[in-house]
Amino acid sequence: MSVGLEAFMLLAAVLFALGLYGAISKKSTIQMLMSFELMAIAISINLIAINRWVTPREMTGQYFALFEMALAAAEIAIGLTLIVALYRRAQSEEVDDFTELKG
Amino acid sequence: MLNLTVFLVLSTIVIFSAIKMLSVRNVLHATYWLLLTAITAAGIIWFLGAEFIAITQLLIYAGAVGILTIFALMVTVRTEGELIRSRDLSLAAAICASAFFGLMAYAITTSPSLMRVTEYDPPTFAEFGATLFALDGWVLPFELVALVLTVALIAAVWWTREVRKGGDES
Repeated sequence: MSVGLEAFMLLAAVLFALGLYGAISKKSTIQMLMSFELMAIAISINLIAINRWVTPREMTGQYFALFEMALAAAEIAIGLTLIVALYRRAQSEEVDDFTELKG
Repeated sequence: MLNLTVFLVLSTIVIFSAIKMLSVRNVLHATYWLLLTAITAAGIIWFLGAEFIAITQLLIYAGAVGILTIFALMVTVRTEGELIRSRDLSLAAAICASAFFGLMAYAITTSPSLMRVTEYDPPTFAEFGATLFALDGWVLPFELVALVLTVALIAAVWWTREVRKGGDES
């Protein structure tokens, strides 16, 4: 028995929803970034699954997944760097402590 | 071959480890669960016939990003007690996430199927590389992404440098 595209898209939707939950609820900045990573993983699964059934010869989805991974890696690198820089200032990694710009 | 058993096993592991990542109280253990999620996701991508992307996924997420996250934890956590955190349960976030999932599931199950191909012979690594670096292919976006990644990493190095005591931050 074989699996269709919808199953993979549902799997990616579950992963993305879990990542969204973490990104909203977590109060530690590092855990927030880890949730973003979860969302990025869901996106690449989705791109590859769509590639497999829609453009297998052109491989468009594979190239987009490659670019998405590189950009997500850049995002995580910058995000973790900002966390370290903010930690130096506030001696904390809690989202609730970064209120300097709050009006 | 897209076998139902393999899919069920891999997706169960992926969802279970994602839930563990969100629910475990030790942040370091959460990182390990994230690593397991990334590795299993690479397995799913391999299973879908995109070997190159699966290897890239392993190298970038399970390798580079996992190690970066652990390094950031090592820099920002001073005592073992700080690793243990509350679960940060939030009703609003749960409502948001389930509304998102509901919408997605509705859209996926009711829209006409995108599946156009039934037989699939995966392109080889050589074809993948040839199209990636062809002038009428993806070479320009590839170079742009490389540039973005370089700029981001230089910015990362710049941000983490030591700040002089008493001096201003710039």
